[in-house]
Amino acid sequence: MKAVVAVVLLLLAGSVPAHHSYAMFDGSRTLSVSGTVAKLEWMNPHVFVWLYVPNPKTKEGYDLYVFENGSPNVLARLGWTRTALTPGEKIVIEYWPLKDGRNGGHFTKTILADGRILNGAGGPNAAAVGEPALAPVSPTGAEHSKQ
Amino acid sequence: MTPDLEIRVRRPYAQLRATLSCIALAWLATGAVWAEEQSLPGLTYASIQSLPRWSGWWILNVPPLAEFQRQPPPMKPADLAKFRALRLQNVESDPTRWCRPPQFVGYSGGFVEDVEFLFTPGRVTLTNESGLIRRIYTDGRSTPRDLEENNTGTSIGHWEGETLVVETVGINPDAQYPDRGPGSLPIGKHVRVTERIVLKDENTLEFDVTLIAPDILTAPDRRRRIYSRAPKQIPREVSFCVGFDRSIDPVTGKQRFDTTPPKDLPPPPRREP
Repeated sequence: MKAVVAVVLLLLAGSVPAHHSYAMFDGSRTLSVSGTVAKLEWMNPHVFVWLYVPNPKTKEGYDLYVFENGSPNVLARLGWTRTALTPGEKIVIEYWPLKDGRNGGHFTKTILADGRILNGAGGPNAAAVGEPALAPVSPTGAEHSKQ
Repeated sequence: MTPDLEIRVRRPYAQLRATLSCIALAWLATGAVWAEEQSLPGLTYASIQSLPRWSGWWILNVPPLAEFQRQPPPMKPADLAKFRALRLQNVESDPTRWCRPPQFVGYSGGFVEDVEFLFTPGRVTLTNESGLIRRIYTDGRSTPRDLEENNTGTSIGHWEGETLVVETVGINPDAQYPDRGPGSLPIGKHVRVTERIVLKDENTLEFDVTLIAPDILTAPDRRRRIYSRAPKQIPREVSFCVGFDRSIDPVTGKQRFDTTPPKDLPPPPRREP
């Protein structure tokens, strides 16, 4: 039973669809940032994670990053809750960056201060982990959208 | 006794016999139907206990659109091409599309939603996390002649051994196939969905689905969908129709990535020395 659930969760982690295209994300690169949790927006249809990332070159000393994640019901199956990340908590986030250069992207996973890992859901590389897109993947990395 | 008198005397008895015979036959027929109905599986709480146990929540293993990649639905070529193009570009400007009510077009559940089975006497109910409710009558009734089309259709089920066979008709012709996203089509008239649902093992439920939709499909579309049991499922509402969506512009319906910080964002931590 545990094996079945693990396989299902693995499939979900890589294949959860969005209700919009993933074309805005660069699925060919995975970046990583360290920072302080500003907020976990636990909402439909996508959860967003806000992160203060130190940047001594700015007046405030920080940049604000935002990461899109899967839907609450799917993330809950991966172990998330609406309090999984608390403001002020220091974490590392891995993500597929926005193509337009803004600070943020699509969440892939986070490493908590105690070393635990929370995987994200959805994102542009769904095809790469076994879920092909219905529409052919364009050279620009555009992906399908699904409900 | 003269012949005339004999006829007059015998005729009332003949009529009485005929009337009683009719009553008896009708009573027997009614009784037979009643007995048959009472013997239908799942018609009482006691008999539900003898049905295969798949009450509860289930996870769809592979979302339908991923499955469509391997086995494209037999849509008309032009429709399929348009569908693929719009999905790729996500250019359809229809901000209301995500706010249509849940609709059944052959896929029990949805795309990121778990499904739930509830068994009550004479009925199996199927729900999902986005609010779809399908009532499948297993009490022996027939499909109504004067069907009123609706978003879930009218579902009549019966048990063939341990397989629940469900026939659904009367689906809203405007229900969007295969979902509410760009490029979807109204499913059209004369739609019929046949599902054969069977528990393959304790944790695996199989739907063998055949969709007939003559307005948009060139042939019946048959496919098998596998669900895994989710015994600890805590259902969460799934909604794509929200007041604030960072991914879709509410005016144009086009996708976006909104980086406007929430109003209640706490201040940044103090600059580290």
